[in-house]
Amino acid sequence: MTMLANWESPSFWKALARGAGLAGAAIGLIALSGWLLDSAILKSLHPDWVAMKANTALGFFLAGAALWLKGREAEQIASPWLRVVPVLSATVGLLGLLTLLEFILGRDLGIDQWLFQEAPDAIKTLAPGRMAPASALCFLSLGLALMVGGKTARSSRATALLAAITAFTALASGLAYLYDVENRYGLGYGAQMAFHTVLAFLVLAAGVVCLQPQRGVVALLRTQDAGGKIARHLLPTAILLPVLIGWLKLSGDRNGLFEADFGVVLVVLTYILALNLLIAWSARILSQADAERVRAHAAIQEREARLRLLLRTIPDLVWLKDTQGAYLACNSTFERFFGAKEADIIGKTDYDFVDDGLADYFRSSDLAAIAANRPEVNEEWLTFADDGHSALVESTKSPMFDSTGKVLGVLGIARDITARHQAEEEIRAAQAESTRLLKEADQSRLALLSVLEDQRAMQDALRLSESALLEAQRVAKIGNWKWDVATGKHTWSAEIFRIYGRNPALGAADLDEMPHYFTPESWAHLNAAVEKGLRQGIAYECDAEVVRPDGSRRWITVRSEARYDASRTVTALVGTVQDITARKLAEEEVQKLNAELEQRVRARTAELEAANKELESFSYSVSHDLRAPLRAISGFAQILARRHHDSLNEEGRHYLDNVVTASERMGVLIDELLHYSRTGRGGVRLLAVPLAPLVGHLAATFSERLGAAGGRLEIVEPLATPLGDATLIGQILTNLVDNALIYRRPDVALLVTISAQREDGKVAIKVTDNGIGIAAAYHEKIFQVFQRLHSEDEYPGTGIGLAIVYKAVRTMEGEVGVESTPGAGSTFSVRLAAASEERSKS
Amino acid sequence: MNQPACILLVDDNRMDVELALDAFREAHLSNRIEVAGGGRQALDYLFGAGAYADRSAHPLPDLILLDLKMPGIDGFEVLRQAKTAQLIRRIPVIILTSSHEEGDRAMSYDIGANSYLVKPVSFEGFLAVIRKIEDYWLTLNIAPPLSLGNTGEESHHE
Repeated sequence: MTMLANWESPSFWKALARGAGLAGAAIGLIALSGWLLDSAILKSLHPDWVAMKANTALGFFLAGAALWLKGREAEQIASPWLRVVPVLSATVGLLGLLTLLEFILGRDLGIDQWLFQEAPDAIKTLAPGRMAPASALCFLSLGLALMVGGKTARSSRATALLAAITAFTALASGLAYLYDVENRYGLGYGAQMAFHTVLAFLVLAAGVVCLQPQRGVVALLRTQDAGGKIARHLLPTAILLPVLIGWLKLSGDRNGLFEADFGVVLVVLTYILALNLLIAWSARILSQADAERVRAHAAIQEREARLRLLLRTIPDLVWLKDTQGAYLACNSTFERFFGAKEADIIGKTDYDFVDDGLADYFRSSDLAAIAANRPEVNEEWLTFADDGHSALVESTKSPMFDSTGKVLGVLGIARDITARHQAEEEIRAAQAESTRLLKEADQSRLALLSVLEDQRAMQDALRLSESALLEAQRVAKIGNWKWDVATGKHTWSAEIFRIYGRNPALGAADLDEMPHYFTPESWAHLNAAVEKGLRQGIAYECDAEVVRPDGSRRWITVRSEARYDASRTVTALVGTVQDITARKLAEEEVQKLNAELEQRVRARTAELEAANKELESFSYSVSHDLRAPLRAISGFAQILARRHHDSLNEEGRHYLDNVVTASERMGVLIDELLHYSRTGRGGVRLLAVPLAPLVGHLAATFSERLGAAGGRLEIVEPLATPLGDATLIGQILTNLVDNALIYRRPDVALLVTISAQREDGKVAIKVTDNGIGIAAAYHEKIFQVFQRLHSEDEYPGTGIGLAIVYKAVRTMEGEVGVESTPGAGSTFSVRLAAASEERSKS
Repeated sequence: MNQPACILLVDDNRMDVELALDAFREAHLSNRIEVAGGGRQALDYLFGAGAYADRSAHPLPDLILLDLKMPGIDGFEVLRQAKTAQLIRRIPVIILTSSHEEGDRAMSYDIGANSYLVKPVSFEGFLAVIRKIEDYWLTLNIAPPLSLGNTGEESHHE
């Protein structure tokens, strides 16, 4: 296969061309060196043979160099020497032309020996140093061939022709050598081409042909088809066989082996035999090739069928158009698009099937793909002619090229991407949605962040107030707690742990532990309160005694409120626990003191009551029991005075009078004392007391004594009505008037004034006299029992009258006072509550 | 009134008794005056017990002058028993006492005293009281029957 590949490769042939160039140049150089060294061997290979002329050797060198350079050029090997190729070629052609002109004109142009001088007797040479005419012709054609090159088909053919002329001319000279005919027929006009000259021409001519492996005979030789094979097989034979047969015939003739006629028969027979063998051989080769071709064709057909199946099966639309827009092929899906069979489509254009607008569009996109020289992809909506459904397709239009790079048309593939498009649309929508959501989430996140920020700020503030709260709780010994009803979870603030003496690391006590922190009574009490709070949702407050784990006891106040949910169900209890031990202790102390005090007050009261009772019974007994002996003294003294008056002398009667007077006074004292002790006893009912009747009765009572004393009583009307006891008020007035009578000034007519007026919601009863008056120092003393300011002899009196007034006033919840100027008079005022209805004295 | 009325004077104070008797004499009253020197003797007399068993010698009095303050059985007790006994309850009882006390007065009337007098300090006063008692209780007032034949018992009221 490598050989085959080499055979087929143009590079192989180009290499051959370069090799031929080198060989030609080498032959030329050898000959030149022979001339330089004057070596017959190098010049003519054999002393009897014609030597290669110096010009010829130079021509070969130049032609070989040109061919070598052209071979390199064909292989795209850059070289500055390429520019000398036309010069070399032209020199070679010119060398041939000038030498031919010498022959034709019969003149020596002086070119034959400008390099080296040749002896005039050189064999088979017309002129010394001048090449044979055939050589000159070969150089001319070879130079022309090298000059023409083979860029175009025509120049290639011209080159091939010129190369063939060269080869045939050289071959003719060669055959003359082979058949040794020159001597006989003088072919070459007395001049003969050297043998290695023939070889060099053949090699160079072949090299020139090989320069263009894509064209002419080389291209034919390179192909793998039958023609190529036949050419490769027959070409050597076609050249060598006649040469061989001709040589055999000539040899037979010359050696007299057979007659000339028989020689012809032999030649014909040999040809028939050789040609038949060739035909059989070629036929076999061709048959094999044909079989191969048939097999290959079948394989191709199979492959094509598969391709067609593939095309048909492809759900995509596939089509081929030429550069003019005419359809070359299409698949079945495409048939559905046009609603026509492929056979009807091929050769027609889009304008035959769709409206001009769409056809224009298709055409322009085809041309765009061609212009871009690469596949063009675009999306378009197509309506299928067979069932009318529309689909979005993705069309790929790729320009097609042949092996020479020429645009053949456009391959189109359209894929239905409706579903994908919809999916993509959905994805895009979903992406848009998720982008939107992300954006929203982002905004939410920002909002959340700001909320968190706020929250953090609030938390800071909260922490601050929390620490303040904790501090406050610690100082106030108040803790707060929460009990979640649903979870049963208990939450305590730090202070509660301190109050209960519980390690905060343990967390808040659960409900089972709680009873251990209280005395049984307190727990029962508290539990009842909690139950109630929980059931009825009412706030409670309850004191309880705490028993700490270390056994110490504290008193606390538990306060609680319920928390509700929307359905008014109690969800939690929240509250406080306050350590009130100090207060409790103080309270207990106070209670103890109170109890003691009460006890003492009770005892004292009882004592007082007893003393009072004793005093009463004492004063009663005293006054009662005193009266009996007094009565005896008084009674018997009187009896003595009545019945035994005459038997007593003056002195005895005087003493008896003294006894009577003293006992009478004693009786008055006792009566007054009794009176005093009776006053206000058993309580009084306070009623409105009209004063006018009392005062009237008073005036009547005292009229005799007042008259006797030369005094008078003045009533200032109207008299306001006080609330009090009529008897007590009568007693008060009687005693005060009596007092005025007693303590009157002897040199002044007594005037007693009684008034009763409302003052500040009270009734002030005033008794004013113009008597001796009382010094301020005694104003308090005069209201006490037995307090007398004067001797009995000066002013008679028991010293009980004002005490009774005082007692009576106090009994009526009033006040008594005195204003006095000694030597001018006194005013006693009694202030009692005013009656709601006041009646003026009628 | 064929027979002078009998007065039972109950007083533990000998001097008061003497003054009273003197006053009666001064007033020239002919009444028989029986003196009981205490609550015990007064009850014995009224119920004919002990030394007073002989009713003919110690007839039921027509009027009782009763002191309240007495050692042992006091005037109230005597009054209470007298006022709860047949016949005896009919006898008018005049409380003659030194006491002005409201409580004493109330108690006395509650138990059934018919009158309440306070002993005057002076002899003249005493004498006047005795004369007025004589005038009212022994002359003007119609004495209740003091024999069991009379059936006024049932109609009495508390």
